[in-house]
Amino acid sequence: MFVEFICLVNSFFIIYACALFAVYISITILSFFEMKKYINRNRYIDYRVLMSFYKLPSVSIIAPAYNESKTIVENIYCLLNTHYQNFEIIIVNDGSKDNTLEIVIDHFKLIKVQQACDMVLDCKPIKAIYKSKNSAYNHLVIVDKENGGKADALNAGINVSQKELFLAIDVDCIIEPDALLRMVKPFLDNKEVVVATGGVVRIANSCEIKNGEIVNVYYPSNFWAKFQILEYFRAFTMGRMAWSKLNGLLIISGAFGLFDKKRVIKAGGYDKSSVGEDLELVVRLRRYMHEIEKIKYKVEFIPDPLCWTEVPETYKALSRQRNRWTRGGVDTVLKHKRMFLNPKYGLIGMISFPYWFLFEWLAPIIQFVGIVYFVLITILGKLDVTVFVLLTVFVLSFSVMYSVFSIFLETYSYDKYHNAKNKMQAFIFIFIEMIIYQPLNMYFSLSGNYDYFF
Amino acid sequence: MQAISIYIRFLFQRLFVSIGLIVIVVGGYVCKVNHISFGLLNFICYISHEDEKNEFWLYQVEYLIFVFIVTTIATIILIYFYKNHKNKRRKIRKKYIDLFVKSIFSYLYAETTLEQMKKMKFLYKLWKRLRNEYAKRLYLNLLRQIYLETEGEIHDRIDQFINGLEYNSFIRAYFLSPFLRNNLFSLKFIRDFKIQGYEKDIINLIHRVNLIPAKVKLIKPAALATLIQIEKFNDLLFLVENQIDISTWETNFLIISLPISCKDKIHYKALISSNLTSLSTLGIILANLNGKNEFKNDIKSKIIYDRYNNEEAILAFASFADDLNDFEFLISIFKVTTEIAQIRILKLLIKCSNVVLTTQFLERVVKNDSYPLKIAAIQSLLQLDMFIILKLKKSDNIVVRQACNHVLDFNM
Repeated sequence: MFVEFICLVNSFFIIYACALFAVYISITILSFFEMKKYINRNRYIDYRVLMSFYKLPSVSIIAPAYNESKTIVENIYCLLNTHYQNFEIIIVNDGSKDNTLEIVIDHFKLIKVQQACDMVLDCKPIKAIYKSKNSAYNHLVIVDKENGGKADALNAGINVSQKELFLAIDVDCIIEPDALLRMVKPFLDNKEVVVATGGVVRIANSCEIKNGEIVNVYYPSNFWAKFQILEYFRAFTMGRMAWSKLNGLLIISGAFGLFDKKRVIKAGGYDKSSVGEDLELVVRLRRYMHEIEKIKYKVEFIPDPLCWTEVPETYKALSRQRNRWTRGGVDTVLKHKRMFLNPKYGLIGMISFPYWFLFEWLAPIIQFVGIVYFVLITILGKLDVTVFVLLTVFVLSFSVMYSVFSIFLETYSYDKYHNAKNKMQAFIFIFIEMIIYQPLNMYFSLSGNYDYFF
Repeated sequence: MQAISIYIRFLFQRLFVSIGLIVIVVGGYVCKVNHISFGLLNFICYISHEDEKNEFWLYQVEYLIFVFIVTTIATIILIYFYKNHKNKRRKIRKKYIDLFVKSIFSYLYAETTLEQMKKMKFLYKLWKRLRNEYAKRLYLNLLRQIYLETEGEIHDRIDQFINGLEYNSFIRAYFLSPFLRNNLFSLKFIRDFKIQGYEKDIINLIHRVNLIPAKVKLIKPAALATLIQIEKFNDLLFLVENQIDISTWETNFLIISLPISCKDKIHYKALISSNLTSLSTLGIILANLNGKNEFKNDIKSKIIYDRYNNEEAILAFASFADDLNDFEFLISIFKVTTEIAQIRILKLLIKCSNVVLTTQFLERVVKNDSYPLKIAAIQSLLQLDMFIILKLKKSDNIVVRQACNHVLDFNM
């Protein structure tokens, strides 16, 4: 009886691992071909030509800011560098406790204006809206509001926005000058309706920044950031690219995503009660398209590295971030559980959602159960060492292959970390990651699940 | 036969690598496994050894580990070679460019006719000697760039040189190539040097790429831009005749690529009345941009036919509106159009001769519609009747007061 039980558990773990690998291999293949296609198709496009286009959608860049006094001026200059025809930059001061607002008012010569706006989305009261007296900054709008969190600040920004699309961005992100032109392109060349586009977010830690632009890209010197670079390669150059190909993308990074404003408003805007507001919005937007509009639509992903962000550099900050991401994911899956395996939602219900549930949410839990199981059967003397070693090598060799391939895709596509030393560091950290970072990530996910449910 | 030879020419390397990979993977598996069966077919591998001790599934795990490790090593090697290849290519490019620039410029700056002929002959010889596809592309691209960026004698000399160059088989092969990059190269060459004889092929290409999503987004705009450079096609009638549906991107691309000189040659009427919405929209935009108000009634009929989906038609009609009937018509369709068109109508109403009708309408919008419309209406009222604004500023409705304050704050 006991032996049969062990066989059953063994089979479950093997089948789960094989299914996970099969999914990852499919993602690898899909992302490679999608990336190749994108590069071939876009290599010859001169994006400056869009500046002279007759019909180009107008865009509001919405950046919530909370206690950003140290970097806010530099960050706004970076956003002002954007190349686009018809855009505005809305900085939402989300009730900062430091002097963020005073610094901006003083530096950009802002004055209070009586700008009226439809409060179509629920948000904390707006105290004042400022614009600059200097015409060089006439794209700039500063919204001062009571503190309500990121989702609330984004909703306030959408209320104030006067353009057709909006780009949700973290204020400390550095975007490439032609980022908007590239992000807007899918809205122009698709016969299907495009409701949102996302772009690749890269790590800015240790990079050389001048006048709000990335001048030189370096591999981060910080221990924790080094791991995250591999993680970002895998997530952005592989995962999201493949899901975009299938039109099954469920997340657009909160740090950088362009949305159709009207549809976001109709879907209800950002959910203030969710900690993973970026994931939740995309899922709800998709649900809205399936349930209300019922037309063919797309959520596109662009593999160009257009946005650079600072990632956590301490254990504490990293654990907090990962804990929040897990809670956000679980919350979204549970909120929209009716989409799970529901053919009414097409590929999203039948593939994306089950994938998210089985391989994003459950993977760390199953990993943990596997470790406990291994310890138990070792204590009970039922461990077959040969099989154990073989299976461990099987899992590790796959993990290494997957990471190496993500480095290859990065080299093949944009090769931002072009020097050999950077590449060498990345290869070394693939191995260190498996011993240190992956178990820690599992722990962060478990603690996120624990915090959500208990 | 020609198509097959072209496909073999461009795809041979990839085909070879793919077959090689399949042989290695399947071969490896066959060597490891004693016995494979597909339905009724049984394959026995005689070179593998029987090993009864291990279970079959462990063989498969071992084999997969082997595949993962080999793939990892292959990927690392690929990264190394890819980087090396890139650097090597950069050096080769520099070498070729130096040679071509030197040769072409010595021809362009030749002082006597004799010297010019001599240099030209050398350039023709150089072209014939080039065996490398990449070098040939670089050569033609350099000529194209000089041609585009110069005028006068230098421009004419390049033109004269190109006329005698035997490029036809090369360009045709690239035109028919399965690769997007090659198609684009040939299209740009044909477009910039206005080469005749490809018109029919380009139209066929447009129809063909419509079925290939990977190509259509890039090839189609380039092909359309190439066709409209040719005099026979710059009236855009070919779009209607061939029922070529175009995307927003292509519409924009056509508008900016259209030579200014053919503004009067365009067949506006055929475009506007086309049953394809995209072509009709293109015609309306072009008529609007080029101030062709003689097509006002055609545009109006389009609005009446499909008033819910014709923002461009309303924008154009609003620009051409000049008599009372036009403004009354615009007011009558106001509720059923898009916000962008509504704002445009509100802004243009100041041109209407019936001030009473206009102010009443604007006041109604200020009281009942959304913020953006309220603001546009107040902005127009500001130019028509300041007293109404002062009255609205004291309105009981806080939203109306806020909108008035907004406009006054920004405008005064």
